[in-house]
Amino acid sequence: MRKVVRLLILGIAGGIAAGASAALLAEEFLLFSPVPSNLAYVLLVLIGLGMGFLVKGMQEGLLLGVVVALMGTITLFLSLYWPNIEIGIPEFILRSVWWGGLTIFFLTLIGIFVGRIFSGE
Amino acid sequence: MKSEILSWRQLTGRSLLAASLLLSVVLLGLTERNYAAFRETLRHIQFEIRLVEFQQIESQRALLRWHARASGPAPKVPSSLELLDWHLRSADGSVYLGFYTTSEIEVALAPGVEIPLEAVVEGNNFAKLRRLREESPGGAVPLRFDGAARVVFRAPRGKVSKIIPVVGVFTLGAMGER
Repeated sequence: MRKVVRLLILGIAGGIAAGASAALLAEEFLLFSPVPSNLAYVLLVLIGLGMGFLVKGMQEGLLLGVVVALMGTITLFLSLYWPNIEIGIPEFILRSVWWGGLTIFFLTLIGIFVGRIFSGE
Repeated sequence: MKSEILSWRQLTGRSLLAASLLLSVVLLGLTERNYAAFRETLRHIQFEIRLVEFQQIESQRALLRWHARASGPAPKVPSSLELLDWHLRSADGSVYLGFYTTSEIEVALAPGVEIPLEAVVEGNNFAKLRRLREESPGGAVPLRFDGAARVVFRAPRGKVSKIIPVVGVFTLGAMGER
């Protein structure tokens, strides 16, 4: 039970961070960001790296990667939808959420793998 | 020894995660603020079309001059405005009086800014306009201005361009009236 709660806390925290970072890469949003888009990619890998140090074993890392990707996609969707609420869900939001979700999943997973390697696994 | 290694990993992992969470949320907050201000400007921008001059310049030509006035909140990012083209129609849309365009007049977007526009109605369109005036009591003809404006926002990392409809109804008085 304690393990599940720990995994959920890590997944939610990592997912919010990953979703917020991925939102900085979304089309129109990107133009209003105060930092270059490359920083968002670096942040995603760093989030994965941080989680790679915290998980116990690669299997738990993979599971966490999925939780982070799900939570990150929800955060990303809400970040893009909220300022555009009066125009509904335009195509660019769906496109950005789709690509953002995949980017979050693969980059955090790379980070987790690197984190596990640094941890000596 | 093992517990020391674990605590080092835990500390690094937690620090990385906390720093990334803080940085990404702060950056998202700043981006949301800029983007929300842009959407707010876009949502509230409105145009008012005012006829300032109507003159018959030759037997088969008439000159119309308008001012398109933008209103709405002051944009928080530097923005410019350009009225691209417009169509003239009778107010009920039944008579089409032609398609006109500006010679790329671009002004800085601010509340109350005005763009001067002009069109020369001639040929078949002039004949239709004359007929409309003859059919209207007192020669006063309500007309509809259907245009498109391009608003360009200079965002921190590039330009965002949006096309906004500009629609207005005005009444033509007697020839030569200002």
